[in-house]
Amino acid sequence: MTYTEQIEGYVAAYPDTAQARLPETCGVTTLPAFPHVVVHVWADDFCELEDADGVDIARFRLVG
Amino acid sequence: MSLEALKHRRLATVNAASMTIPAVLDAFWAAVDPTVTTYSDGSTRSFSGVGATGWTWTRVQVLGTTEAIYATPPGGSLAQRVVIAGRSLAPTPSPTMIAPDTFVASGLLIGHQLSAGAFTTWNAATPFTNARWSGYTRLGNAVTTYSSIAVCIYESQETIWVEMLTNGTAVLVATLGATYDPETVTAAACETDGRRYGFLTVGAGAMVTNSLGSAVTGTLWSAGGTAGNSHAYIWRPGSTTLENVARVWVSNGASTATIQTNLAGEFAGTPLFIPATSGWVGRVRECYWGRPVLYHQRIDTTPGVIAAYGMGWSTTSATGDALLLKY
Repeated sequence: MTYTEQIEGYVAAYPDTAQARLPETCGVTTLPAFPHVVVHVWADDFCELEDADGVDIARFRLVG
Repeated sequence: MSLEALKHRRLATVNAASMTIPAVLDAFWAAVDPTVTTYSDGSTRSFSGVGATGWTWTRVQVLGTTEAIYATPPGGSLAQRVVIAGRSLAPTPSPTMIAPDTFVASGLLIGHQLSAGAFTTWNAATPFTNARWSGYTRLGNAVTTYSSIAVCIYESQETIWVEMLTNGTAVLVATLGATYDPETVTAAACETDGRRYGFLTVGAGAMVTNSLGSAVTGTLWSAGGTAGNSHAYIWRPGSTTLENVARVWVSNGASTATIQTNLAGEFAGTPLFIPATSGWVGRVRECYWGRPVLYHQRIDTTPGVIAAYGMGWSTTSATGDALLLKY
């Protein structure tokens, strides 16, 4: 699975996602299947999903 | 030249007192508590020294409730740690999972650390401070869905095997550690200690009869694409990147005791080798594809002389695929 597919799969599992913080190294800056999700890149190795109020709802690592 | 041969030792099996996640973790703790100084065969559990197999486990409790246990190996230079964790509800912060697995309330989670620093909390973004933290993948369903759970841990110098018997019939396994011998010391192909590290889980479902041939659920060295599937990950050397295994061989699931025994009556132990998506990884250390065995079956070459522990999928049917963990 591509990084985008992994991230979008995770967002699908957490439909309240409004923002996603993604590792800069993964190169993903948009989520085509979820255009409403605002993507931020950061230096950490993991991804973090937040709801519309900025509350963390899930964290995960990408594989590959 | 091959790495030091691993020898596997089995700790006593412990039944969880109730079907709650703290009770199951406490059952694991009872099995691995550093006060346990002998293995199930009566041999000494040594925590240091050449060839020692005893890992030092630590229990993590929050307000008196067990939420995790983690293990430090008796040796090694890469500071690996193994974590088994779980909670009845998602904690804050939510533990880092490995995509595609998602946190499951009251489910068991396993994770692996390399280059560990100080322990913080099990659900921190980096529980051992260092960024070479895998995140968690699942082992089994929510423990509240089972009627009984018996837990068992096998220790070797550098690896851990986790085995659970649920409802008296279904076997779930996972393994973590320096599982792979790359059979080379070329820097790019191995960690600085010459090993390759990784971990696998059968996922939410119990091990199936063709665990070395089937894919997706209940299988070994398989990379399912959905939460709860079987997963197997390998660290890229010197990196924080995890890769999926890419098993390129399959068993047909039709092993028999006859086929897996040679004409001298000796049990076969066929070496396993594993690639990852980016390339060859190595030989699985002292874990073999062998004759069908029952759950928890001990293989004695002669009575009382242990050759291996069998890792079978059933308590009643010695058929299909099985692993032999060399004693």
